[in-house]
Amino acid sequence: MPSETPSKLAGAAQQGQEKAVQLINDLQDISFTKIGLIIIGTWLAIVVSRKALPYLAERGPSQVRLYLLGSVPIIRLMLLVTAILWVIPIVFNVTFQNFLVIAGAASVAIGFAFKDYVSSLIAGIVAIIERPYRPGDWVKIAGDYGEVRSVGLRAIRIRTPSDDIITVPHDRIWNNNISNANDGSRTLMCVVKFYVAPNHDAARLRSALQDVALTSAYLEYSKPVLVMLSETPWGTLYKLKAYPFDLRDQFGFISDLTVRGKQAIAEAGAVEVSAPAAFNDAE
Amino acid sequence: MPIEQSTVASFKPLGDYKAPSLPAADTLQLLGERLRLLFSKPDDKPFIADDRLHRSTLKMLDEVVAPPACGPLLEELQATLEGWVTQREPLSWLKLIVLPPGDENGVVETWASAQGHEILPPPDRSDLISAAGVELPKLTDEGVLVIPQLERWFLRHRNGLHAVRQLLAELDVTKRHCLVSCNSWAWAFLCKAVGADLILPDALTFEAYDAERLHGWFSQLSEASTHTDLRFRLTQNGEDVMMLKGEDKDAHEYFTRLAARSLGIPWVAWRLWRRSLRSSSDDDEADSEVKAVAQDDGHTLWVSALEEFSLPGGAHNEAALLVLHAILIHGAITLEELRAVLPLVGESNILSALISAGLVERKDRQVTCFPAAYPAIRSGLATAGFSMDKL
Repeated sequence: MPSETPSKLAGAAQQGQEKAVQLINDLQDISFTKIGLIIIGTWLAIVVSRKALPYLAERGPSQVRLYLLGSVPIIRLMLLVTAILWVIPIVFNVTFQNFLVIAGAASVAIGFAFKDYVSSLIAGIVAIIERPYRPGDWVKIAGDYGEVRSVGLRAIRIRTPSDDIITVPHDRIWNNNISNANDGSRTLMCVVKFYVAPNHDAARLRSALQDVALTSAYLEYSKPVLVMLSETPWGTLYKLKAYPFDLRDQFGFISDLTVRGKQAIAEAGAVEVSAPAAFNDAE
Repeated sequence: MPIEQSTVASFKPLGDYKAPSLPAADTLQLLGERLRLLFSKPDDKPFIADDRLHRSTLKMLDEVVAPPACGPLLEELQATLEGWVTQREPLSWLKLIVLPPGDENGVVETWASAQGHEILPPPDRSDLISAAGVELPKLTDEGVLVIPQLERWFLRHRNGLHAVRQLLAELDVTKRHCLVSCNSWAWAFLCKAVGADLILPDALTFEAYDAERLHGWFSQLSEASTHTDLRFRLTQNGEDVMMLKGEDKDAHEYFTRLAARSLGIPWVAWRLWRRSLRSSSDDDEADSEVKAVAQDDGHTLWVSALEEFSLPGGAHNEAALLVLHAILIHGAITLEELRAVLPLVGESNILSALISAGLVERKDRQVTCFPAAYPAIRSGLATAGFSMDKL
C-alpha cells in the first residue's frame, strides 16, 4: 500500500544505521572454532616454514641457500596477512563507517602506547619489500657485524663472529645506515690488510700477494682478485681483496690469506710494521 | 636414438660437452620405481639375490671388459688431430685437449707414443716450489711436441705457478705444432690463476658417451673376449642388457642410466660397469628358473645395481671437500704436496676416511680420486658451491 512504503523505508534505514554502528558481530554469529583453526593453522604454517626452510637451506645446494632463507619472512608475512583478512569479517561488521571508527581508535592507541612497536612492525614490512637485509646476509648495523639469522616481525637477530646474538629492531632502518656485505649473493669481498715498512720492492710484493689469493683453496674463480697499496705514515698499506666461494668461509679465507701473506712478505724481503689500533679502526 | 655404426666421432670445442641425462620418461619411471620399492612388500624379491653372487675376478673382468678404460678415444683423438698435424702452416700452432679427471691410461700420451711424437715430460713436483725453480728445455725443434698433463706443471701454492707461467710464455712464441692436454679442474684453475685460456683459447674435448656409444663399446669388448655366448642379465629382473629394444634397436635403459651416472665419461662408465658385474656362486643352490637361465645361456654375468658413493657428512664434510677439490686439480699428488696446498690446521685424518669410503685411492706414495666415485665427488663439490670445472 502507498501509505506503508515510507514507513518501511524508514525502518530499513534505521536498521542499516544500527548495523553500521555495531562494530562487532553478534557473539552467536562469530565462529570461534573457525577463528581458532585459522590462528592455529597459520601459527603451524609459520613454525613449519621457520624450521623447515632453514633446515633445507643448510643441507641443500649452496646456490639456493639464501633464496630459501630469504623466503621465510615473505611466507610469514603472506600467511599473517591472509589470516588477518580471513578473521576480520568473522569478528567485525565491516563497513566504511566502522573502518573509520576502528582506524581512529587504533591511531590513538598506537600514537600513545605502541608507537615504537608499530614503527618496527611497519619497518619490518618495508624491510621485506626493500630488502636491505635478508636471512643469511652479513650486515653491519650501528657497529654490530654479523650474519642475519632470522628476520622477525619486530626485529632481526644477528649472530656475530664471536657467537653473540644481537637483536636489532627493524625501525633502525629509518635512521641508520645498513651495510650489507653480500646483498643476497653467496659470496662477499674479503679484505686483508698488511702494513709493510716502506723500503721494499713493491712490485714484487704486490705480485706475490696476488699469487697468495689466487692459490687459496677457498677462492671463487668468477670474482676478481685485487691488490691495492697506498702509503701511510706508518708504512705501505697493502689491501688484498678477493672472494671466497661461500660467504660462510670468509674467516677461514681471511686467516688463510693472512698466514700465507705473511710468509710471502717475509720471502720478499719486506718487514711488517704494526699500526696503532685506533688508526686501523679508522681505516 | 637407434644404434648406428657411425664413423669415428671427433672431439668438440670445450663448452659443447653435453653430459647425458635421463630422459623425462625414464626419470619419472625411476621415481616411480623408487616409490614402488619404498612401499613394496617383503616377498617382492629380485630375480637373483645379491648374496648368491660374488664380484667377478679381475681375470674374468679383464677378459670380458678389457682395459684400457679410455675406450675408442684414441681413434677419435687421431681423427681429430690428423689434419692439423700434417698442416705445414696451421691456423694455430697450439692445440689443447681438456679431459675430465681419472684418465689413468693417459690418452694423449698414449696417442703421442703411438704416433712417435716428442713428449715433454712434466718437471718434478718438488722442484715447482723450490727456490731454484724449473729449467725449461728449448721447444724450438721440428715435429709435433706433446705436453701431456699440464696439471703436473704447477702446484696450487703461492710459489707453485712459476713453471706453468714460464711454459705458457714459451708456448706463446713457439712456431711448432704443440699439443697440450690438461684435466678439466686444473684447466679451470689455470684460466683463473695464470690466464691460460688467453694463450690456449680453443680447447677441445671428447663427445660425451651416451647409452648407444657405451652399449656399442661394451658389446665390442665382450665379443672380443674368449668367452662365448656371454649374457649380461640384470639381477633385478633377469633382462639381458645387451639386447636391443624395439624397432629402433635402442640400447637397454640400463645403459641410459649408466651414461647419466657416469656423466658421459668413458673411464667412469668402464669402472662402474666392471664393478656391477657379478658371477653366480659355483655351489649355488639357485632357484630352478635361475639355474635354467644360466645353463641355457652358456655363461651368464649378473649386472647388479649401479654402485652409490657417499661423501663423509657432518663436521668433516668441509675438510673432505677441500681435500677432494685439491686432488682433482692436481691429479695424483703426494701427502706432502697435499699439505702444502691445503689450509688445514694441524694433523688431519680426513684422507684416511676418504680412502676408507672408497672415494680416494692410494697408489705408491700418491693419492688420486677413485674414477668411479668422481660423479659423486663432483656433485658434492657443486652442492657446496666450490669453483667448478667446465667441459
